[in-house]
Amino acid sequence: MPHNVANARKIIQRITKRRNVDCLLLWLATNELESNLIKDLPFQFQDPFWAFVWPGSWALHKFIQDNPKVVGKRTVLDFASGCGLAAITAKQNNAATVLANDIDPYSVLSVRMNAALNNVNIDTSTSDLIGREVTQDVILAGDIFYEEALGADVMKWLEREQQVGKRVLIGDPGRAALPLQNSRLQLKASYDLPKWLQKSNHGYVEGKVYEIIG
Amino acid sequence: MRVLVGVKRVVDYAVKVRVAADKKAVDLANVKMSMNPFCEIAVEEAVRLKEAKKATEIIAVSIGPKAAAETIRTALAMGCDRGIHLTTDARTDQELGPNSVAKLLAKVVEEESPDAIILGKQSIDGDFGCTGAMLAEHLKIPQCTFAAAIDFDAKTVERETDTGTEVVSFPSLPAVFTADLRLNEPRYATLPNIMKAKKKKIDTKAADSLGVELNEGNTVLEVFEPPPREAGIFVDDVDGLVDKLKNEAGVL
Repeated sequence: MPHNVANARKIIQRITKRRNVDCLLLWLATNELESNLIKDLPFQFQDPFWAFVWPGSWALHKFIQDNPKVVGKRTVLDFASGCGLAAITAKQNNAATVLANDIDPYSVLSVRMNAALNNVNIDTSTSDLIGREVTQDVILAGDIFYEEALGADVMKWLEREQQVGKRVLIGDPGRAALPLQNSRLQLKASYDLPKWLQKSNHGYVEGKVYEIIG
Repeated sequence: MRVLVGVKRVVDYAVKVRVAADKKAVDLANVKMSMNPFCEIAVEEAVRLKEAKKATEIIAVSIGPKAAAETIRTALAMGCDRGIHLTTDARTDQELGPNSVAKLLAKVVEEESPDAIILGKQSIDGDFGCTGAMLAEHLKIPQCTFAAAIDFDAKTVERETDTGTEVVSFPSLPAVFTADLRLNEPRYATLPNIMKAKKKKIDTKAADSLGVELNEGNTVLEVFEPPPREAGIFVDDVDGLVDKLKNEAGVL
């Protein structure tokens, strides 16, 4: 993984300074691994989905900045955390603890690097949490509704977690698999995506934050 | 509004095609393939509708071999939400013609019930230019072909004609639109978008599983290259030019 550290550093610069990054090296490295040029990996290397800011997570990040009380002094889970943008923002806004969870071990590694570069402390886990009861007060879920089957599983799980007293916030740019017809989804905020984020997310111009209620 | 776009995998527009040795088809071995340019325009139009918050979902459909999935991925990277891939081993440049494609697309439209169907006006391999019209006919819905501008609020389409453009109105949706060159300038699929497109879903099913008879009723007899252009000549003076135009070209 020769490009990992250098790119992670660039990636956090992207989060903090919103600069464009050349992710080509990462992409090439991924393709190399996929085509089995490098064998005997301890686990499967997936595309670096954590190398980009996702619009739903960006919306959660904005929402937390605007409403720091949502996370203040609370324990927070950033589910499918990607690069950790929402997790880092929660911690910066005085969350008691933050657990960033993503099943991709490289994602979690990038969260740890990004957290270190932002001088915040984030716990990480790679467990598959869908369907499991979690201990945190607040669950953040950014950009998880990109596919119907997965989206339905996640929604069922999040609804149950809300029923047992968790606050559940969903960040989404308008993906088709988000069950908008579900009356328990309440729109909390809507933000225009900045141009740089629109460019890396063709078709999306808004980031919305929903809360599961009821 | 939900939009369905058709995307076709064709020989890249920059490739100089060669006729295969048996003269039955264009040689596709080791030739660069990409999305039909008019389909790119159709996709771009749909994505702009989504960005203008007029469309909620864009479905990209392609009919073709396994590799056509790459074309769908490109459409997803341009901003479509999900893909449908109807697989076939038939050559989509000549064996599977516009009527078969229109019938297959009609099946998909019946299943997905989109409000607008946007296709390219023609593909640059078969050059038939009639899939859109045939699709509208099969579905018995309005069609606006050769679109240079589409206004969904005013329900009008500016369409290309031989003498300029004309504005026509369409009575209702759903309707079929086919994209001409001036409709828009398609965007490039950038790397972050290409990667994120991998997370989007493509449903794959065999084209011959839809219960559609795939028979064009015509077959390609021979494929040949156009005769090479003859060299021009220089004339000595204006009189010589007038003489040639009058007596040889017959245009005066």
